Amino acid sequence: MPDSTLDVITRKVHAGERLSHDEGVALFRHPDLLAVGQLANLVRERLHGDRTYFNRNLRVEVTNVCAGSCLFCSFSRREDADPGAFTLTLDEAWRQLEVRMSDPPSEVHVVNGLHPRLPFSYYEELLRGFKRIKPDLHLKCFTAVEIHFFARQFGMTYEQVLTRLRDAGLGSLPGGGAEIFHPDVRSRISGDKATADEYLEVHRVAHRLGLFTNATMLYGHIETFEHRVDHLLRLRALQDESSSAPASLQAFIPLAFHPAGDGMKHLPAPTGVDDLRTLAVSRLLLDNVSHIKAYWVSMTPKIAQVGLRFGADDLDGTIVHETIYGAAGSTSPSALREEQLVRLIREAGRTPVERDTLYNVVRQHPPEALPEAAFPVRDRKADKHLVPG
Amino acid sequence: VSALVDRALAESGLLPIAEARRRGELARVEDLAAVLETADILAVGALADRVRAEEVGDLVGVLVGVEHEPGPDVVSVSVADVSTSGLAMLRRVAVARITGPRAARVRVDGAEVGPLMAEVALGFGASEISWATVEGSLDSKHLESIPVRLGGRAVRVFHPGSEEHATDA
Repeated sequence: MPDSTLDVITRKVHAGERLSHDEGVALFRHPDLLAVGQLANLVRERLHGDRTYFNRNLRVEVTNVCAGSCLFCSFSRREDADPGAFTLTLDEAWRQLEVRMSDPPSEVHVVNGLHPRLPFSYYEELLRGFKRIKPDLHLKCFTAVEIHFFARQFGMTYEQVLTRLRDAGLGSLPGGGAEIFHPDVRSRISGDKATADEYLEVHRVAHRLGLFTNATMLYGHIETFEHRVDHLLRLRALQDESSSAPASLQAFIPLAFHPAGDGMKHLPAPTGVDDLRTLAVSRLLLDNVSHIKAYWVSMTPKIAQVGLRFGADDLDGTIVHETIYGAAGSTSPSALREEQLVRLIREAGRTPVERDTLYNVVRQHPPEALPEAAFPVRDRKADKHLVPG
Repeated sequence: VSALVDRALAESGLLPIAEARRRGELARVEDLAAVLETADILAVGALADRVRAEEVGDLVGVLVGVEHEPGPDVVSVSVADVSTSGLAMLRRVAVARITGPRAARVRVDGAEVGPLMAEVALGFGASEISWATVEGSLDSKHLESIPVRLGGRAVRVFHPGSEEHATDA
């Protein structure tokens, strides 16, 4: 990319002007990762200063039995009887929250396979049961792909599905299932689930109903930079539409492809450089989405921490207990303690802010109170010699 | 790009140390090095990357299962004591480049920092990644795509006994 192109982009970023498709592609191709990172950091600090968000959340997957056949997925099983298949009873699902009630999460995040035989009442009762255990819990449940599946499976409109789930306690939608919107890619990696238009329509309807949502992008497999930019700009257009709705996209989460054990295992995994560049370009293109998450499960805690200097302002949460990336071979831990998240953020020179799902501040941690005692220390004399807790 | 980097260096107070490094005044660099511990990490990384480009060029060395004597031009960066912090790792690599000998082979241990961080370190002043064993090292598909991701840098892989694989940008 000629320097003049970066000069133009730099001027537009400083002026708060919107970047084009070609400029997005140019940023993905630009050889100087740190220059791209600096621009993204400028926007990140303009929006959020040093504040970096996380929450205390519990991840529950109630079934991995799935009618879909996404090439990249190592989590799903076709039939209940397949090795490794599971479907929790409602009591088993609720138990996952009950055992955490001594240190309760503020959010339960539910993502599942598209089970062909569970009744809709199972999902409604799942939400009601979580609410009975902890009435102020925020339920961020069911991707747009699941909502589309429910609508088709149970003969309802998106609005009907979302309204019934909201009545049962649903608070917002997670962003999974977006993968890559462009049909050249989507038809090859996940051709039998919701299309891009259907995914976006679910979010559009959710926003009209006052349900906030997140969005994702699975990157680093067969897609091109042009496909990534196309994906980001479709989300930006959706967010423009939702600006007059009672709710909108809250956060964008780039998800790194993990190839182990799935139908695309011949592909190399995306690298740390790709992770950071994707965070940065996302921050620069999605000028109307408030938050960019460095999802530590997907990109490891270390890269996620570095990502806090490349445009990201959110590390997601404590997660306990994610299995989808684990099935795909992720070497990230399945949970981080709150103090570990706080440390990651502080070591990045940022101010940790515990939030709820809707980005209301629960607690702003003082920048000087590093909870060092919470970590095993190998050599305290050297001040920073810590080992993972 | 240079203008952007220059602006970042100026805003972070790094221009004096950058100038000292360019003039080869390593004692002066050492005197000014304290600023590297607190300056913006992206600016420190940009300076380290500039020093690497000017003094070493674009060749990335990947040593797999190779025992290399630590010669005077090799700076092996140990990050074991900051292993919980990706940013601390990168700052240490960048400081090693900026304060190290001219045209040093700044090396990170891939097994120690992990493959994702190892590649990122190449953008913060490192010029070599070493792997004690082949197991767990970067695979060939990954290696071949490094030049693309790093903006046209060439990768040369060293296996025991010979230079076995090279990919040019």
